[in-house]
Amino acid sequence: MKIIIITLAILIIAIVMMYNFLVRKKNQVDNIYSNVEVILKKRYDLLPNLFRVTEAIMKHERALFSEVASLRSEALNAKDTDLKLKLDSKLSNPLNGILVAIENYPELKSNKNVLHLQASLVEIEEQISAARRAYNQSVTDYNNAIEMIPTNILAKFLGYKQRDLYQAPSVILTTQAKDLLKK
Amino acid sequence: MKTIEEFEEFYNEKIKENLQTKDKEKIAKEKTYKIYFYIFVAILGLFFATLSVFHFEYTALFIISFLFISFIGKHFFKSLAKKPFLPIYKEALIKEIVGFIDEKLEYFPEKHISKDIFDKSSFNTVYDTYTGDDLVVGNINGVDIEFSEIKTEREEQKDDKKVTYVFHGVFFVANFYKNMEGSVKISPNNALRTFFSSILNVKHKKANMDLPEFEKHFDVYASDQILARYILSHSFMERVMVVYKNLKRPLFINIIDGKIYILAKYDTTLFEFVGDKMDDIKIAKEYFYIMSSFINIAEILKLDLDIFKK
Repeated sequence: MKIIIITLAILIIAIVMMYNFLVRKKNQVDNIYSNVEVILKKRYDLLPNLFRVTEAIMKHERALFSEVASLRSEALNAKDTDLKLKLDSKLSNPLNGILVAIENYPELKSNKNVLHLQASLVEIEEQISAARRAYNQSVTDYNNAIEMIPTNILAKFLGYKQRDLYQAPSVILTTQAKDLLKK
Repeated sequence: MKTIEEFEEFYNEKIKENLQTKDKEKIAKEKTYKIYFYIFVAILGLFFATLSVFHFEYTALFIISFLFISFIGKHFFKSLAKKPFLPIYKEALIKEIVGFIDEKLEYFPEKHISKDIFDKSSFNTVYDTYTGDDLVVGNINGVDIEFSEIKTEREEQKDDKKVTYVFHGVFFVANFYKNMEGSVKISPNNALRTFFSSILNVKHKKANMDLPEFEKHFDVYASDQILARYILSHSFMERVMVVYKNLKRPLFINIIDGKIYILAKYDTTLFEFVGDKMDDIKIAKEYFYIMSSFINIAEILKLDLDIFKK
């Protein structure tokens, strides 16, 4: 009888510990995601200002502007976490394209507002990159936890599902933008 | 950055002769103190000889005492002869090294980084006394830096015994170029600390970095996981590895409130006159290497990268 009670007690403690471990991993992902959202929001808020100052002059880049605008509005309305992050990754490329294209317009290059916006966007891009790394690390930890024995059994029971990693944009031009800023 | 070969040339041209002159002065001083020592030994011998006349049974003890006191006396007189040359050595060698690396840098042999700054650095070092010397202050590529040797001591009572814990090291402070709220702490790997950080609700949680070489040598703790990655970009981690490889010492780095604090642990005191001769190129080269490694930290870490301006 004693052995059964001790075994049961150990089993309950182990389940509680596994449960807490899984919850901690899941909450960490959610917590970092909420910070990611704040940074993304900062970038979305800056875009209308950038458009206002540059769009009228950068007539040849209309396609880039409309692509950024539509991705921005899709990302703002997206409810699903993974979709939101995917849209943001897609948005980075045309946005960096605009930042680099500014170099072809001397009147914009010397505009203080544009320079300030460029610097702010580059800074936010760095923050997003950091957020992406932190988010991906927490997602990797979480995915490992729900795949590995024995926590995978409890994770299945709790209905925990794998999360997608936050993909980096295919072309990162922020370094170039930074160099241009330094000139 | 000045190379060791350039320093060797500078040493032979500008420093060597002066050190050799000081060495000659030191030898002359030692000769005088040697005479004092012989007089001291003679008086001591006479004293113990007189004693043994009256207490012959203790002669063996008197001989041992005589030898022991003579041995101590020899070192005492030697250190007395050397003492005036300790500050001279710093002026003649260390100051020259600092000036050679960058003439805009200032060197204060007797001063150290203030206790307030050390406390702000949050290295969690508990101490009773805080001392130091060899302060270097200046501006490297637009970045204000300062560093000095420091020593902290703490006494603890353990089983009726007093145990003294001593920390020796070089403490470096500079402005950090990224805007931030919160703090990031980098320290040598410590499995026990990692374990406790994972189970306890501590303010600074471990942040696993995605650069294997860096992760192999360091643990990172941060008040915010995103902040840790924001500060420790891949290129910054690679640059920290360069500093680590240059210094070859256990390294603690705290980045707090727009400042970077670096603490390198050393087993002995640095930049002191340790041998018998001041003119010793081997020691001079070693001090040059350590000094330039610290002075170049700002350049290696690219702390001048202040493109966003605070």
